[in-house]
Amino acid sequence: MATKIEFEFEGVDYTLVFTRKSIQTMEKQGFRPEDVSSMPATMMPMLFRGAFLAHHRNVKADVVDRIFTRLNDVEDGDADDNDEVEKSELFQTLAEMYNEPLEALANRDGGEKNISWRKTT
Amino acid sequence: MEEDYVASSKNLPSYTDQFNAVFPYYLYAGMTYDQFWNDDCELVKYYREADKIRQQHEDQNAWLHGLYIYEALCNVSPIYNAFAKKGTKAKPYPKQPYLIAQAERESEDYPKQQLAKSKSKLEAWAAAINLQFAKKEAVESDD
Repeated sequence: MATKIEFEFEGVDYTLVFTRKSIQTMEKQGFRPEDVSSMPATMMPMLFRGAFLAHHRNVKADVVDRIFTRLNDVEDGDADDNDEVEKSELFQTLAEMYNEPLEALANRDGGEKNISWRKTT
Repeated sequence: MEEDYVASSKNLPSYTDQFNAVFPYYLYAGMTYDQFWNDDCELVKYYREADKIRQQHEDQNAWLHGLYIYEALCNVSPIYNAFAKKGTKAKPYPKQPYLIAQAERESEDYPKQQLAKSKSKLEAWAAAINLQFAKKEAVESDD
């Protein structure tokens, strides 16, 4: 089933997931996946906030921002150099999740067979 | 190169446009609006598979329908022969649907039922033979 990010923050359980409706809403708000590399400061927070739309639409923006600040150092609890790595892993996961609703529409059941390969020396 | 990639990617339809393009098919496949837009995004794979099974089932039904028509025409054909002998009759229509008949053949009780049928036929035939012999003896004794 669809990939989800689950965590608990200030006593509330959160489930982040992208549905087709949440993607539609994000596009109406101006989110463009192709602009993530050129405008990361704008698009990445939009991507993160968009993951709340499916199950936590009414969560306030400042709560989302606090979660965003705290989420990337949840692995070790310290604000250190690993935060950049954790943040990039988070956004990589969010990007994969964002693509899932579209990829699920692709018919890959009766398609081409996988290519078997072997290693030779 | 990068400018070409950015320009070409901007010409691609948006995710929403692509969702809207396939939405009618999934409504036809049985999904509701809520399931398609708000539910688990992987659900569409199972509805596609269910639609394939439904199409196979309908195809099989159409084939079976054709088989019934074919057999009906074959059974009736003797009486439509212009050179058929007087008294020619059409073959009877099957007493049971094919699938029920096949299910009965595959059931565990089928061999026992067949044995009971064969036994009763044999007994009836033996009784008829015995009756013929008894009549013949009665005629010979009268002589």
